[in-house]
Amino acid sequence: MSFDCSRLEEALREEDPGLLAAAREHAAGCAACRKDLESWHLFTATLSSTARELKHEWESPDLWTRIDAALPLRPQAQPAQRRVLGDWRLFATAAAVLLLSVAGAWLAVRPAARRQQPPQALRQPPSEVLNATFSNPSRQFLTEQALKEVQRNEVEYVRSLDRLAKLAGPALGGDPSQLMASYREKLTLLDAAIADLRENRAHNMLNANLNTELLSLYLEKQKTLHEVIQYASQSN
Amino acid sequence: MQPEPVSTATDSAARATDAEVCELCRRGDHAGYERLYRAHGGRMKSIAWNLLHNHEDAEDAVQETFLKVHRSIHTYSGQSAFSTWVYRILVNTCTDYQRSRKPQTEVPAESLVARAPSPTLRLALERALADLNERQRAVFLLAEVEGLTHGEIAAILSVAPGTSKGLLFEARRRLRELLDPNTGPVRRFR
Repeated sequence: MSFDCSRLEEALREEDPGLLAAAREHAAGCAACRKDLESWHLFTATLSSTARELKHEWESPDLWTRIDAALPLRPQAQPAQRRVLGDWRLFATAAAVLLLSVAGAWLAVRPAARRQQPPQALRQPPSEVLNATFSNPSRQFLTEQALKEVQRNEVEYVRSLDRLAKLAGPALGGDPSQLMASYREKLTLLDAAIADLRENRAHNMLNANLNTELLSLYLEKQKTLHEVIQYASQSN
Repeated sequence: MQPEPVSTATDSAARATDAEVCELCRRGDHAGYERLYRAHGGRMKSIAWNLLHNHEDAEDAVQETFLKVHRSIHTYSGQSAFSTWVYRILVNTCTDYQRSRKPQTEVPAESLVARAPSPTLRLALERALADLNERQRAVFLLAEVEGLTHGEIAAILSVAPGTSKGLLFEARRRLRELLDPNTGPVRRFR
């Protein structure tokens, strides 16, 4: 590395090891730079050792107490962020049962429709295809069986939710907190939405979108009720 | 890569502790703040004292720093270590204290207490530090008194490491002019 006297300050300013090594090498043959470098190192060494003495420690027995008192109190943990393994299993089982039932019903209808369509039936409107499906007595039986299974599972699931709602009832009714008021409002909205969807679906049991939406609302209600129960048990 | 926390031990354990303390503080857990205080309170007080030269003001600045950390922890992005972020708030708090007070040309009597074998030189240094500008003084204190690296100082002061080196060089040069005026002909950097 080429180094001349004008770069001495740069070497000291940047503290670059390579540049400092070059500066020392240069200073070995340059009296002026050697003198500058030595006096600078002597001064900075003294300065550093003196500066370390400025580190100042003293006892402050009350400082943490003051800080602790001044810090706002710890906020309530948000129950929405909690996760319980048991919830997950129940959740997954219910979802799987309902989805399999819906899928089963769907599969029972689709192949029948395909098999029964003559080539010109490809241009038939869907309602006619569906009629053709139900005109086959054995297929119709399978479809009705699948639908009944869905309904049975749904009824069981709704009963479980009702039992959960009974468990959460005392906490929902007895806690005047803002959080519980939010839960009450959310559950009321969920119940209203579930009722709407069920009414719509009653006219169209095979509508997969309606079934999926309904399932998501049931699951949301289940999750909310679990949160209420957990919050109540931790508050007690 | 997670930056090294400002700590007495800059190893992986210190980084893990730094992250744990941050997480506790984020949750509003006072235990996190207490751990922060136990780990860094002493150094925080020392930095504040060197910037403010008064025990009471230094403790107030440390307390104010904890309140600011609590208020603004949601803005901590994790770009620097948590402790580095806390020291940045401390230095800014002390700077605000300094600006709100009358300019001091004399180091107050409280700092004149002899604590070391070379009280005269130390006293002279304390007086000379008052002559540096804010940034030079902050870099000098963090580097020479507290022993922080340029990387850490750069993160605390929100400057580049090269700027930190440059400020330290300027601080040393200025202190040399003030403390060692009769040194031989140091031609280029005086």
